[in-house]
Amino acid sequence: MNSIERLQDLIHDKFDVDKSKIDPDAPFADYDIDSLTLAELIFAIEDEFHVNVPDSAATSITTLRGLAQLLDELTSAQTA
Amino acid sequence: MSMERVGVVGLGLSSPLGADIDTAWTRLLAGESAIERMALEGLPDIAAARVQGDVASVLPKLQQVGTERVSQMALGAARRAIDDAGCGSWPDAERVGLYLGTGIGGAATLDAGYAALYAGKRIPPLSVPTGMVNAAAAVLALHCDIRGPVLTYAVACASSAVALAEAAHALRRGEIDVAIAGGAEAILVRGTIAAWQALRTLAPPEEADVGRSCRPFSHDRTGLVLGEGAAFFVLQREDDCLREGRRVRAWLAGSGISCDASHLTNPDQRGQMSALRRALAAAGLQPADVGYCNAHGTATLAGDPVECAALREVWADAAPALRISSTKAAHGHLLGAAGAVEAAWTVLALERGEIPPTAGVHTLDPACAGLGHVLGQGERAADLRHALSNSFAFGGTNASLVFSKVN
Repeated sequence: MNSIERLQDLIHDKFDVDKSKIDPDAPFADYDIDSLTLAELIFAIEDEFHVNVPDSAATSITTLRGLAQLLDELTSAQTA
Repeated sequence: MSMERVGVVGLGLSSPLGADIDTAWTRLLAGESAIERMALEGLPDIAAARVQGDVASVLPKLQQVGTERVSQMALGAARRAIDDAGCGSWPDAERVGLYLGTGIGGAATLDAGYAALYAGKRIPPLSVPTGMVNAAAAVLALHCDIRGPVLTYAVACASSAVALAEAAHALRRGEIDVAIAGGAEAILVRGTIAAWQALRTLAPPEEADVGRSCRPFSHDRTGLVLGEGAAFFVLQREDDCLREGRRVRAWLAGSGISCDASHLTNPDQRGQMSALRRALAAAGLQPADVGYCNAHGTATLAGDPVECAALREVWADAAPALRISSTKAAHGHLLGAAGAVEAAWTVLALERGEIPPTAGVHTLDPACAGLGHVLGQGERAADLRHALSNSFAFGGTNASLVFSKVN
């Protein structure tokens, strides 16, 4: 399972958003993920993936694909 | 000078006795109790009255973000009140105000957040906006489209009685046309309960029958029992009620608020009498006009006799005929929500001509005598015209609300 799929699962489990609605390239707002929900999501990601997401991510990242890319960078930096 | 009356056009509950008004009222009249034993890690068991069922499901999971138990119970009750009033949407949302009383606000959020932090974990990111004292009001505003004043009153155990009084004033001042007013409290979490236990004021769970742990006015009372819940009213000015042909459950005829200014927690007869006299004057009534008092009656050793003495002195010759009960025997003390829940019972007593009892109490403390106590089971009272609800708070604030029958 790649990072996008894992994040889709997490968003579905936490917020009951239909996975078919979670377009990786659509703005989060398209499926009603607002700034507070994103803060909750990042908190959950940090728990599940054992990473520290920088504060700037919450404002600079607007799509799931962007979040997945950051996550991949953070996990590879950890294993490097 | 008496105050202009305000109509109660909607009522909604999230109470330990249930969310449905008819069910809750039937249970209350029958002398049932919603008080149960509650176990908490590392603490002695307590007696407590909880709201049953899935409270969170008032919102879909995505919209639950930023909400917690107190705002969820508040929203459930407010929606039921708005539904009861038959208001689907507002002609002008900016002319609708929200007046919410709560003692603490998001106790569960703060309790869980600090517990995580002190255990070496992280505090969740929405602890501030979810736990803040006005969070429930904000949640109601955005889900019920309330765009006028949205205010939170934190006056401990008088919070929601004060909120109702202030909502009525805002209507009288013409600031708004519709008020959603009431309160919510959800403090049945480990840290808050431990703090109450430390104060040595909670009744222990009654071994023979835990439902009878809270015994207001009884010779053998042992303290208060914590509860949780919410109740909301939809209020409109009398002339608007009549013009719009509203079904009015009762009139909020007047309110009186005073402060003891004598002690953080001890009740004070002078301060209570002041609130009672102000409420009667505001309603333009004499003591003998009022046939029922839903008492504050928490079942503490110190509190009950002071309230009874205040009522005896103000009611004087009419005191023996003043019927009185404390419904906290059935649902515990809802703290910031108590005033609104008990005002709801007071409205229903007038509307239905029935008086709820102090459940499970059979032998009065002589210091509480001299009033028309309704014990055990409810009573018919078809002659009831006016009724009173008392809420006396830690911090010394006393609030009395007077309601009048419609016909």
